[in-house]
Amino acid sequence: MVGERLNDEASQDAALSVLVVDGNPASRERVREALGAQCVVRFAAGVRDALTALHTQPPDLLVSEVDLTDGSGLALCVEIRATPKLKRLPIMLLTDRASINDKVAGFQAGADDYVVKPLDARLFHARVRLLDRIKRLEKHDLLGA
Amino acid sequence: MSGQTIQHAATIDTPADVKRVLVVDDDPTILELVRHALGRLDRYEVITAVNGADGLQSYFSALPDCVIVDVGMPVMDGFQFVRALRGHSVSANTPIIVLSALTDDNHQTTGALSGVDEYVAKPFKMSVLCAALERALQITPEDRERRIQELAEGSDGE
Repeated sequence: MVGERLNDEASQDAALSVLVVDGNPASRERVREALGAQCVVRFAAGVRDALTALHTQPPDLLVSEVDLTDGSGLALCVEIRATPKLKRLPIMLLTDRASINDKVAGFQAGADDYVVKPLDARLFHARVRLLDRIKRLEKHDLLGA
Repeated sequence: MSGQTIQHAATIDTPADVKRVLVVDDDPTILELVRHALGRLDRYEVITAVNGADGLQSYFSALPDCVIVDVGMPVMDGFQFVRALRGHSVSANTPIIVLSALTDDNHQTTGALSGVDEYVAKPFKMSVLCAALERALQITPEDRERRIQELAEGSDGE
């Protein structure tokens, strides 16, 4: 099976900064517990808070619900992809929405990954790490290194 | 979504020793080739889809035992399709084989990180694809979970 180790992973072990966008306090707490001490987790309750946080201090990776109090996680994805300094930000949608159309719409809006709740803590943590590796690999390719 | 290709509903049972295989590729020649070759073996029932979005529709209609998927496709590419399956508990443990002309190390690594079990290069021999299919069908959920954790930790070796 494939699985060649990346060459540019010197910072792999550094704490990953993750911005979590979710209006539900219980969901936010589950994400915090799942990511544990290996990630620096910040929260935003909605689209507006998220955009402010993204422009002030861009994270390494964004996790967002689709249904947000002041808009849609899909609109947030589109906005991020249209912003030059954020367009390569890894985005995972973590949502209750499980329909096929929702999944397709999520990827078409610019999400890199789509995870359906309820959250399996171990698997979720692993998928955040995997997405970080995938995006590092893409960046490595783009830089032609 | 094209809506094409759902050729067997989930309500149609297959014999226990016959595995239902979903093949997702935008090249109709590949779909026919794989359908014909696997169909001759009498132990696979083949259904097809033409892109990742169509593939998701077919997957949740037919609940296949295994998926063979191309990478470069319109609407939703193969790696997005794989991540969509791995991100939902219903489909997270389905054996997945990528069949692609994109064979450099980075593509293969992206496939593994996305949740692919086996990677077969195009052009391919049917014997190679069949061997990959048999291996993928043997992988247990515990094996897959272990591999995912190793990949996430970056301990997948050189």
